[in-house]
Amino acid sequence: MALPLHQEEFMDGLEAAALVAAGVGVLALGLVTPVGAWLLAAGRIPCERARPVLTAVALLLWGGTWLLLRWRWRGRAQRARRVVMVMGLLMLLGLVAGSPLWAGLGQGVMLP
Amino acid sequence: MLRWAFLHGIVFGLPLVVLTALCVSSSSKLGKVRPWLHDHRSALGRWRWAGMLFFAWITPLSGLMVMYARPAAWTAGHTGWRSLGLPWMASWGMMVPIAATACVYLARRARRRALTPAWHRRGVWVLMAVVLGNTLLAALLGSMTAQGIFYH
Repeated sequence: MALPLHQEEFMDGLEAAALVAAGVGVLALGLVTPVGAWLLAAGRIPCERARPVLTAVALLLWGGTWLLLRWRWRGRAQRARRVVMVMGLLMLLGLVAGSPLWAGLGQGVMLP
Repeated sequence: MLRWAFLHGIVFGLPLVVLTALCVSSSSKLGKVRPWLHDHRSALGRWRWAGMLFFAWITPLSGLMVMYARPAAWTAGHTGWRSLGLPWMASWGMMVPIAATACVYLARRARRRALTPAWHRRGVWVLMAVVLGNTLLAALLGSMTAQGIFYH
């Protein structure tokens, strides 16, 4: 998989930051439903309180990751293949974790 | 009650689907050697990206606000918090604006250069697939939830 350095393609740091942050945000939003279901089961925290807070936390994670990576990677090119692979993996995990099919197939996940 | 869910889908969801499809089509041209594309940019193209971003944020946010304030208004015969639309909208629905914002940012960065690297274009395509896929699923699953198909 690893290419020699002279064949490796690089991506600007700011663009890499936007892509990785989008992956982190999608994963965080995907975890809203399972984490909320766990909070409901473990802590008896009602989902009408847990859901908006978890969604806001996920959006903050997205923004925070973007700003942090922009600051860290400004002027530093990143390996393009790795950036796109990491983003795709994070998004896939987020889509699976937050799938509405879990709620449909399960016993009413995150429902009161 | 059900008509509000359909009205929301038609007023916000339908333009989002159309604009996302148009942006996917235009993003396929990014990164190819077409200097005139870089030089000439129509006003329509500018509004297309801005419109997609606007609808990508307003659609799930307005849906969430209505569902949190009046959950009964979103479901047909399933009042209260027993609505599958809520966990769906809070997780999958909110993924659309994140992916769309990253897409618009990357497209803006791409247009400021003459040429886009291949991996950059692939990143845009992954994001666009998430936006379009989630938007289409929103229309499908949202209307199915509103009709109470998931309830037995």
